[in-house]
Amino acid sequence: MEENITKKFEKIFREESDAVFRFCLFRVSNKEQALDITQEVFLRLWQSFKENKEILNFKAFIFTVARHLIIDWYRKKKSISLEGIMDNEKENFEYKYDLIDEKTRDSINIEAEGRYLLDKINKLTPTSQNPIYLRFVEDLSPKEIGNILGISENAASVRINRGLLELRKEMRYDND
Amino acid sequence: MISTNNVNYMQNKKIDKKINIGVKEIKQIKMTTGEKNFMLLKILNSPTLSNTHIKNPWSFHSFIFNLQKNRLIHYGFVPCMMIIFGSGVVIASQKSLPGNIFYPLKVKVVEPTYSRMMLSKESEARYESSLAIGRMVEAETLANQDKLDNEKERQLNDLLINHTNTLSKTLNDIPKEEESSDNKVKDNIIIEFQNQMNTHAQVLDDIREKNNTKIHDIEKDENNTNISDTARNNANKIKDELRNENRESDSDREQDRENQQREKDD
Repeated sequence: MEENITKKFEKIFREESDAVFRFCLFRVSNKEQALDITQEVFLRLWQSFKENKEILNFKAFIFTVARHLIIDWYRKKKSISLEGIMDNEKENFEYKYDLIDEKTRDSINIEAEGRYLLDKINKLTPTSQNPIYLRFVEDLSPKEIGNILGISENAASVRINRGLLELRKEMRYDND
Repeated sequence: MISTNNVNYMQNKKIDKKINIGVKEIKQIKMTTGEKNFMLLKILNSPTLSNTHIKNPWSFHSFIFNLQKNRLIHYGFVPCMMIIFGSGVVIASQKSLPGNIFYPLKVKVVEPTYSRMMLSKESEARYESSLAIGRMVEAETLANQDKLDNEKERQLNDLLINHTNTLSKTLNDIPKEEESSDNKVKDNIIIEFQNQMNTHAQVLDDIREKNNTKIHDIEKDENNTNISDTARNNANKIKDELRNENRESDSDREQDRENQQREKDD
């Protein structure tokens, strides 16, 4: 039983750890911090396994935990009032995809097109940034995105489509 | 001529291709194998959260804090504690002797309360009798321990007189109906009281003699009263009262008979 849980967890960790790491890295823009948050995400998953908690969708679970931990990290980092966070949460930092800092850039090899795409995602309306990133970069389904963001599947689909149109528009200007 | 739709389609295709390249490049960002293995090892060896709660070293203070905060607990807890402490004190006072801090509580609060709770005058009289006997037992216990000093003896003496007076009053208050249901109830209580008083007075004297206490010296002391003598006197007093009462009732009956005779003659 214990062995099965460990094997199952290892499989999920091998498959999803990079995605979670990226998701964290583009928000906190610090490799060490991203590693810490990734570890915390999988630690919580492991503890849920140990306590035999039922998890219907592992991907949704780990990205939801990651999203909440990032929000917590921003709260600590920015030292702003809770009311301020609640008011400006969505607009200001939850959907913010920071460009990687110089130190991290040196240690991580990110190509020009990738950096360009991140930059363009960052320019999207806040409500579209996460759905676009999760749909096209991490290949999550609208249902999973809905679960992570706490919205319905339909609302997630609408945000993805609007975001894609917006992204194309942004990129077209540069091509023209 | 190329239509606008076609231009848009071509542009979108080009953009989508660019997006795909960007996505591929982003996906290249990964943790190193070393980082992954280290993280996995750390997670798998992490201490598992126990379901049992860690005992709070400040639990007592938290309890008091909750008590102050929560009105419902406050109103429930305080009466409960009062009942628990109150009953504890009452139980502790039951075995107390003169000189003990609980003794005043016993003779001034607990015993009068019990007495008032008696349902009939007969049971009240019996209870008063048992209290007077109890005082004698206390005196014997103290004498046996050689702790019966003048002050304690005076205290017991006063209490004994009070009990006897109350007993006498209670016996007089026994209603006629109750008396008629069992004519010998009063007699029994008085005889039992008299016997017990005389017996305990004798026992107390014996203990004193055994302890070589100078009874005569105590008797000589003007401020002091010998409790065994008080016991005997009280026993006689109660007996005399009963005798007087019987005489009065006999004379009443005789007078009634004379009156009836006169009425017949008339």
